[in-house]
Amino acid sequence: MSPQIWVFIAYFFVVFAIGWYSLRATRTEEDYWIAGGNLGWFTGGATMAATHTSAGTFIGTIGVMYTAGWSFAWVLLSIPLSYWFVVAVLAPRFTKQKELTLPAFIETRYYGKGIRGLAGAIILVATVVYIQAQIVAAGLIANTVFGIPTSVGMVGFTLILLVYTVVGGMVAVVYTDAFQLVVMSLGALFAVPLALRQVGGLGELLTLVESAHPLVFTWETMPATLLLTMGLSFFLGGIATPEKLIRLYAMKDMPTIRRGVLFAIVMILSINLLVFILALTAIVLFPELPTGDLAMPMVATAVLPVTLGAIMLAAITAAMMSTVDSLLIVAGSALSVDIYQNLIDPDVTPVRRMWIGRIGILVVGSVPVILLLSGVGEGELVQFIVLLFTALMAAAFVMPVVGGIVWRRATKPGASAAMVGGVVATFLWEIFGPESVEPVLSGFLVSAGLFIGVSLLTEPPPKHALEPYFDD
Amino acid sequence: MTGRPGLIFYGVFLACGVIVVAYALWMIWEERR
Repeated sequence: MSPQIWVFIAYFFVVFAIGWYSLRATRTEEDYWIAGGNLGWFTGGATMAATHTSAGTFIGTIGVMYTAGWSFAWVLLSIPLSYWFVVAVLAPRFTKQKELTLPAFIETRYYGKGIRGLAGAIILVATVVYIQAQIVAAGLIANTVFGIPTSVGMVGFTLILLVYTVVGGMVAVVYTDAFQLVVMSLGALFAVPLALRQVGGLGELLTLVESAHPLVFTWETMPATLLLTMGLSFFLGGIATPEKLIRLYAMKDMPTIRRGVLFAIVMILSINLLVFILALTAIVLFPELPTGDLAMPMVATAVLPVTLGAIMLAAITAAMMSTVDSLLIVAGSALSVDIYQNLIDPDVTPVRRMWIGRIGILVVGSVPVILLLSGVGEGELVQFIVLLFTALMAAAFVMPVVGGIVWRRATKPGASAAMVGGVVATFLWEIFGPESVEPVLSGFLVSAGLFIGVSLLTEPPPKHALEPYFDD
Repeated sequence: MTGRPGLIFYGVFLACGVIVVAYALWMIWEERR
């Protein structure tokens, strides 16, 4: 067998071992959904960074930069600013009352079961979209590296992921995330100097890139509106995507959250900056790829020594798995807690509920691969699927979450209208709107307008809904 | 016009550094408060 296969086998072995160990550490339902709510800054920050870093980073970002140029790099800055906003404004009140899921917060703050079910349903749909992007990327890698058919790669990736997520829950996800973050960072860290040596150093690289792609270091490759709205998308998405918000519940207290987020920011920025350099080397070394999404797999297989290349690809796989596992946890809890228990059987026992969650994860995790195998959603650039997901989450949840925390007057009808209107507006823009503006702009503006307008026109919220979050 | 890899290139690295330092200072200030 080739050394690449051995690297992958060793890698998955470690991931499984962590999943198995986590099963023994999972005793209560809190352990399963939020890892007991007791994480320290290192594991907490690592799982945030690993969840953030997905195929979007290693495949998608490189793809866009390869195709459109360096100006996209500036969009990165919106990410740390968004995390900072979360820690400074949102987290102190949001974590006052710990919940197991984001829709549970929605129920407490907006005093209703229906609205919680609605939030759960939005999460389920958006998750399927997002996981699809990651599975497409996994199939691509399997095909480039091992030459196995894309469909086999997609199914294999899904199976591995489902096993440890279903079995180990959030504890498994958190610890595999920490491990995968280490693999990702090392992969990027080793790849950059080697790739640079291949092209003769950084100075030489910049000159070569410019002669291959004269506009690469200008602002002319992408419309300013697109760059700004992409930045807005990442900023808003960073604030209210449920897989990030529940990580606030998973960490011990506010000082831990502040430190964990600092660690996450440093890791996310470093990995992205390294990845940007790799995108530039791909422009020089492989100027005529059919799709930008192939740039990173090409760098890994053709530039790096075989074993290191395999580690790099394992790192990309790690990035995808650590994101999908977190989303599966969110989707599983949406189905079992927010929809099943909340709307169908309120008296379900915690053990049974956890099992329904596991079955939910299995179902939600299988749908994307089944859709892909039947030809739905093939051939999209990974980054754009990621952006659609981010836009949906931002349009649905930023106003209900942030508005609910800072504005007492926010009401249930206002939040419901914001969620539904935001999602609808995002989809409409995605289908009919001009491509030079990201759909998040229309989604967010419609959501904000409805949130404020409808809240003001309806009865103020009852006192008990505000008590957990407002002091007086 | 060919854009020399000047500010548009190095600026991203600089800006990232500035944000991290600013966050760290804010964190220290917040904990001393």
